[in-house]
Amino acid sequence: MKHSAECFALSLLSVLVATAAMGDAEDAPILEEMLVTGGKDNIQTLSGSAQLIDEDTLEQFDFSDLNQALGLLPGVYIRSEDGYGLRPNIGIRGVSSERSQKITLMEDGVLIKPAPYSAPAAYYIPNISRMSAVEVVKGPASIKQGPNNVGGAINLVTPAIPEDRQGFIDASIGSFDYQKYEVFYGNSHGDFGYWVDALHYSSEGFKTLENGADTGFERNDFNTKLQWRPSLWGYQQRFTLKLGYADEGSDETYLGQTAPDFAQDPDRRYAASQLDRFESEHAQLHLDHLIDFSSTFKLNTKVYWNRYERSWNKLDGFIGAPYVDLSEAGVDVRDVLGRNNGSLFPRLLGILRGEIDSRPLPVETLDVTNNDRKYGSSGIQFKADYLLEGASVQQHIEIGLRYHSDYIERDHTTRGYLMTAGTLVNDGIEWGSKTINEAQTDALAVFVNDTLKWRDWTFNAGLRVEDIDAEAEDFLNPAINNKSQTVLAPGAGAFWQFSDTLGFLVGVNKGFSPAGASAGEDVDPEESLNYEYGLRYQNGSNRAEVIGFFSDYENLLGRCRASDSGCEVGEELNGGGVEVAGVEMFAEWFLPTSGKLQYPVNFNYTYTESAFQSSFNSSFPQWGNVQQGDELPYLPQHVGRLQLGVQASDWDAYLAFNYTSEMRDEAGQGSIDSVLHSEALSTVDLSVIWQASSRLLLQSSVDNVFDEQVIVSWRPFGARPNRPRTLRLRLRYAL
Amino acid sequence: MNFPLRKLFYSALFCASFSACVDNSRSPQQQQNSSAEDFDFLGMMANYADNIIVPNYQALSSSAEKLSAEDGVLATYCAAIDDSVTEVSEEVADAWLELQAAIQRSEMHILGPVSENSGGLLNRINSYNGSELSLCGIDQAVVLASQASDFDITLRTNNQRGVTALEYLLFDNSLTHHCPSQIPETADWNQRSAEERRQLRCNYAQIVSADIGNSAAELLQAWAIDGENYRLDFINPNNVEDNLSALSDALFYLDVDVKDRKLGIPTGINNEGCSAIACADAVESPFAEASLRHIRHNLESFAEMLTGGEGLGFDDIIRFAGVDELNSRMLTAVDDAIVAIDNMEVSLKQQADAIVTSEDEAACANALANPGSPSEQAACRLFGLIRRLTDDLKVDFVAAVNVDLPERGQADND
Repeated sequence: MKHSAECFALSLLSVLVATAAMGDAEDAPILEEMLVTGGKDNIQTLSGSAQLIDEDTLEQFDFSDLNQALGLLPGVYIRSEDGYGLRPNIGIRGVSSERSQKITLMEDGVLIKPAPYSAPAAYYIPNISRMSAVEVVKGPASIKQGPNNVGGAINLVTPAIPEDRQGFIDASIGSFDYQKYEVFYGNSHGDFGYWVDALHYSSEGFKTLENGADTGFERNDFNTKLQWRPSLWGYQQRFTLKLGYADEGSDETYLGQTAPDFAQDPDRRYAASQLDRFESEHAQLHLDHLIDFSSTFKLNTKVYWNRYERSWNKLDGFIGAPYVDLSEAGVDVRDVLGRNNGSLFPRLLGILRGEIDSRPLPVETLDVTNNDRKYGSSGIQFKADYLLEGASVQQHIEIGLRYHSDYIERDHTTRGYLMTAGTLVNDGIEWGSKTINEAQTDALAVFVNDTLKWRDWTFNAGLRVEDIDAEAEDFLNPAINNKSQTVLAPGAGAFWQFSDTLGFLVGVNKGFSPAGASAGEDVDPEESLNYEYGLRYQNGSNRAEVIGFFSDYENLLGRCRASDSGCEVGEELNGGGVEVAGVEMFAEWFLPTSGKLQYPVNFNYTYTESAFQSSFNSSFPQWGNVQQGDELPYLPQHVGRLQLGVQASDWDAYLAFNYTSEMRDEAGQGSIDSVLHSEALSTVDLSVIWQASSRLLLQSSVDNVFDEQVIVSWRPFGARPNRPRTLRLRLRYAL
Repeated sequence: MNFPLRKLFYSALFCASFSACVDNSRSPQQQQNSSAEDFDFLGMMANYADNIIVPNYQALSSSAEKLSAEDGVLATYCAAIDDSVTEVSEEVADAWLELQAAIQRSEMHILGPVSENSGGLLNRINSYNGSELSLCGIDQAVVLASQASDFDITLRTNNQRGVTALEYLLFDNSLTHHCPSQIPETADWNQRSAEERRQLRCNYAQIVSADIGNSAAELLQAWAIDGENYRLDFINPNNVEDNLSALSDALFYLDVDVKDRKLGIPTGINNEGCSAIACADAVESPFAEASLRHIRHNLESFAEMLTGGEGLGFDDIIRFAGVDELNSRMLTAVDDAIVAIDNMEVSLKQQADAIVTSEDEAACANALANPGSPSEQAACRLFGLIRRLTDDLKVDFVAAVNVDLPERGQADND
């Protein structure tokens, strides 16, 4: 990626040349149209759980890993994979966290997953370093956001156009050759405004391959936002064009280790992963238009176009279907690594480690498949806001309409490799394609949300309707499947401002996750009915929130078993259900002080329990054969964070304690210690910030101060660690 | 605690109570019968491979090695043969019995490499399963082996090799040949001294035992992880259905081979291949008269194969199916049969020899029909006891373990 360094230098030079007078421009307020919560003030009277992490909070630890940032919030579950948050696995309210498939993910209110309907796995996620806020909305998200809103929605918010010149150069270095460089410059001239942002983020990686091959990553992100704020035809309008390009190259793998190998060296990577490489490019064009017809009526229009290409050449196990018969097929790598501490298949383990040479048999030949995919998504969405004011009643009616189209093209080709003296040697066999398929979806979504304020009460009710038409075509086993589904997702809630400081909320919302494009005609979307109630407290800068939740998921996709009646074996069907319940606690508090120092305390904790309500053979491999009463996998019963801070006039210090309890690897019940599970993780993070001058900020952060490393996941293939202790030093110079 | 905080506290407590609302109960039916899809088939197959099958083959190989080693008991015995020796030494007899014990235990899992090519490898080790022992062929081979330095036993048919050939060579004290007079190799056999005949047979026995050792080593290599690694095929979850079926089919050795052939034919209960009332010569071990000992080993091995030894086994599947009483019944039947064998005072051959009249035949039929009652026709009663076991095997066992195996999920790596 040589050109990225040159681009970066050029950006830096141009920005330095453009630097003129001193002075800090204040951050421009985030535009409401970019937010899905409506902002911190609006959150206060929402009938469900929602949080907004603002830029100041993001700066406290200079988060570059979305997983870490989301740890600030309750009700969000993370399954760590690479240790840097390159492809987060995020779940909300108990839904599967797998590739963040079951949540709506947005940037500035625009669907940002590569193909949210055709392939909802979030292989692309915007770099949080260039964001000014992160919003998380749970229950009520299902009215205004979709699809895949069974758990909730996350919106990443880019900086607003600054009213005055604003710019900075931000440079960080750290352990494992961690490097982060960002240059930002923006300004407004009359009705025109802009900003340019260039970000480079890389590390050599903390894992080691015996042959010394790379295990790190590099990401580059170039974005610009152009804005024009004219008064046209008597109406104040705003046109915003955002252009972005991002690329990534990372030597990432699915392969983990056995438990005993992990205990010896958590950061070891087996030789079989030496060729694994992920590369991607993302381009986006978002056009936003706002017209204020009056103080009570405005219309926001967004037009978006995203393109994403990725190829991930990685170990996919040993040669198996579709290349050979089942009797010759290799053993699943998860069985090799996870069963009996890796002792059941010693020869295969030896091959993965690079200690035993493969024989030229399919069962010992390593399958390295290049998963090449192209995605596209585009659409146009309108949102009208009406404010109606009566004597004692205020009504805010929001009507939204979105037409969206997305697609995915998959072309997965396999090469076979024989482990030979610790090196992967191509076996010279043209194994061919494992997958060649496409899916394309058109979706029309309409919602109406009515919020009514009456005295101390705020009521909301809404309905979301989505009409989804999808087509999937398989080219290897020629078949075309068309899938049409219409989903209604109503919701309602209320908030009661009991006193100046205390309010109570209650809400019930229906969420959904569409059936895949290849699903049969009888297969319905997965649905959830989410109940929440709780309280919100705010007194000045202090606020706290306790919300209990109960989510009832239905129509979980299953596969017909031979023991099931009334269906064909292997047929997809609706049948599963799971209940998830718990309580979220969240607080931001400033301890009383009489001096110049302030002591902010941030706390969040989530208790969750879950149980499948029926026995069925889930089509979702992580659940497998589910028995009634089984708990969900990768759903921690306890997760929380306590952050203590000291804020002075020119320096801040923060200490954060994080805890995630152990999690099952598969659905089940009974003692978790007797089955495969991730381990409980406690980490401490430290950050010290010094405003050395009005322009210069210095920061030193240590993530995972005590270097705690545990098995945080057994997926995709084997035991994986969290990131070890990482020191980061940062310099930020305001232009 | 001041009033606002107290309100906050109780409100929080109220909200926290919302958390315990999931219904995580299981129906009583489900608590009793976990689905077969739950069962750890991979663990079970690995248990059978690592803790039963391969150890049995290792025992077989070690006992063959003990017998055939250059300085082993057989070589020592052969070197000490003189005209005062009238029967095989106790050490050799014990070593042969130990070898047979290992073979008999292995007979309860005839699957995989040992059964390939119509059971070629199995028959080289124990030809009783394949065809009748060729006594004349062995007699010829004894002479040929003594005459040619390049004698190759692998060119002989299986019924001139293996542990049953070894039995003939070591335990037949008549030392007479069994060939027609026109066979040149044995024309002057009976005229040779007993010492010479015993010596030549002993020499050939060393070749046969070495051949058994080679076959056993080949079998172990077929299963070895750094060999042909059949173990991987056997425990590969992709093959669980076929291998589970092969494993349960192997247990029917108790029905077809132990009950019907080893007991049924000699006692005349099963007239296949024998027109007389009883056929004592059809016993498995006519020379060492160890047939009942072999059957005992078969029964012990059956129990281990049923239970999986200390690990997962068919009994766990049966328990999952909710018919644990079947396990108790079958194991009790095994114990009863073993006790019956232990109480027998004469060999199976002698018991079969004693069934000569139609009254004897009727008494035998009565004993097998009423195995719960003591009988002088102990072997026939033993047949009945084992039949109780195989009746359960053929019906209830098959029904209990005939599970719908889980479809292996597609990998979730999108």
